Amino acid sequence: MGFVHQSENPQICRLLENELLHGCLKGDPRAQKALYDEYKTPLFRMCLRYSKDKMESEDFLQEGFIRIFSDLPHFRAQGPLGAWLYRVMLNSILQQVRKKERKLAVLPLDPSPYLYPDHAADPFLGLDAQTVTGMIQQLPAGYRVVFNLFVIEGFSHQEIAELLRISESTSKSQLFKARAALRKLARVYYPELAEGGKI
Amino acid sequence: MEPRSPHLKEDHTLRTLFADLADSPASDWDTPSEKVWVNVASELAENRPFLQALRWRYIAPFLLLLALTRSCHPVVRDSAVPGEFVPFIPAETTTTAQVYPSAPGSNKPAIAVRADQVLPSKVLQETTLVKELSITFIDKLDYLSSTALLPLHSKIVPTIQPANLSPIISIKQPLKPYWSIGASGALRFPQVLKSGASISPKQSWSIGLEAGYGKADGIRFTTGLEWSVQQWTSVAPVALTYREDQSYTDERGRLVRNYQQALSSGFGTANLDMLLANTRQNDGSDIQVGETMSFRVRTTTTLNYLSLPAGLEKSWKAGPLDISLRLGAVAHANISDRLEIDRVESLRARIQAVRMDLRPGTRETARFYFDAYAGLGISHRFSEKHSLFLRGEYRHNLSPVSRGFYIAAPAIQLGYTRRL
Repeated sequence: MGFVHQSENPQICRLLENELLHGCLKGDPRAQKALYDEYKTPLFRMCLRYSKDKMESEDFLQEGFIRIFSDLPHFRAQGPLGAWLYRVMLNSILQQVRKKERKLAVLPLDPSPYLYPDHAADPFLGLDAQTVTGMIQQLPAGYRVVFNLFVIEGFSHQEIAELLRISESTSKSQLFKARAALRKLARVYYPELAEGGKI
Repeated sequence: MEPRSPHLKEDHTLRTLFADLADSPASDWDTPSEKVWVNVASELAENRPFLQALRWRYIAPFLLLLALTRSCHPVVRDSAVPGEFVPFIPAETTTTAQVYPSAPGSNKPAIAVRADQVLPSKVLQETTLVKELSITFIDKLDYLSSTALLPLHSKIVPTIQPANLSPIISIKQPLKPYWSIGASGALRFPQVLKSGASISPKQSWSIGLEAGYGKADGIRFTTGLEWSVQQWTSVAPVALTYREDQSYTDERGRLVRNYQQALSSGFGTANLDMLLANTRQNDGSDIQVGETMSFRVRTTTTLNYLSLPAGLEKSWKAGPLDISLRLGAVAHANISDRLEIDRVESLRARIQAVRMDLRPGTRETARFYFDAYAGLGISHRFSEKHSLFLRGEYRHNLSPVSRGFYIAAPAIQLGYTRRL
């Protein structure tokens, strides 16, 4: 899990990661800003996937970075900094989602459940990240979180159940409905695929 | 290797899509706005490392307290070591009760209590300070009433009997400092001293535990832990421009649209999401696109604090009562907060607020702030160890509780103290 982010920012090139960390721990605003600039894009992409719109993503990012800076003294350089930041941000997002949603709603979907045909083509093949993110954002919060945790982050249903304090069967059901909803959305975005019988 | 199951295939596509995402300078869909960093930086500036954040003005009250505490101990200058001060810490304190058949300067019999304090000194080896605690004249030498013995603590003269009366009774016992514990509750009536916004503080309260370290001369150092709840309301005007794009008709036939606006409150600036409905009555006063809709939004900020008071108390005995004067400072740490909308008043009858949500914006309320306090109290000793007190107290912000204003709060405090 985690991400690889290559920076071309000359400021970051000068400040090695250790120096960056050291500066942040000392409370140096320049180092804090450099760390933010370095990681804001990948972390914001994650926030976008867990939120309903850009405004909510910015709230997630803001709270997440505040938590990152407050937890930074606990970072032990046993793994990559990026992975640690990613994990802290994810925890922060989940905490905010839990706070907002209280109970992650299990919403009823279309009365005629979509059945996944085994022969169907991958509906997401060829779509860009912005489009897929937009589709994920249209999912109800409960579906969105489970879908992200399972599909993108690679958590198991058991881990998701523990993280979200829901049952494993709820996690599976949310994922099933999320997949169905996403395929429907893909049909809206790409009707030509649906007409061609691929979806 | 390509996964075989369709679900796995889909998952693989998506995971790869997000993992291998390159920067997309042409589009800003994945770029957060500048205000995110502005808010993060503002939050970080408030929460600098503890020692860095403690500026002189915050430390000053505690240094003052420390100085006051030291000044309560007379300092003996040791001439043998220039510049070195030896704190006055009595090595031994003995109390003598002395009965005079005929007190000096008076023909009346008298009983006098005095304290002899021996303190160490490098030069003199020891120095004795004598302190007359009290002298009580009695009517008859052969009869010591309980009134006559009142100035004497029962521990000092525990077994004095008229039959054993001799011209001089000398009892030696160290005067030990003592510890005390207690609990108290306070009702506070805060007032805003400087305000840029229409803030109205509500009556607040606090409960706390107290620990004290007292000396025989009536000086007591007190500290403790307090939990307090503060609330204040604020009213802010909100002006929105009426629009009909992205609006829809709800089940009641109203034209509904979502608006977003920054809202100033006692807590700071919050982001307000308002779902507004145009009731579209056919009374000829329909609102036009582009017209301004004005609202008054009243919010309540609730803040819970954990506080650490530290102060000095000087008390004087008056029969079974003690009168005390307290001075000190309190450090407050915000442990939780809540901002709620109480009421939204639309200045256009046809526009109704259907739903409102607040999202965090820029916090202006301090996470840490400091108060100075002064109090005058009276306590009643029920027994040697137990007493109840009633105290009037006045607290004043040393550092602002919020960026916009300072608060001062008179209070009534009721509590219990147990001497250990």
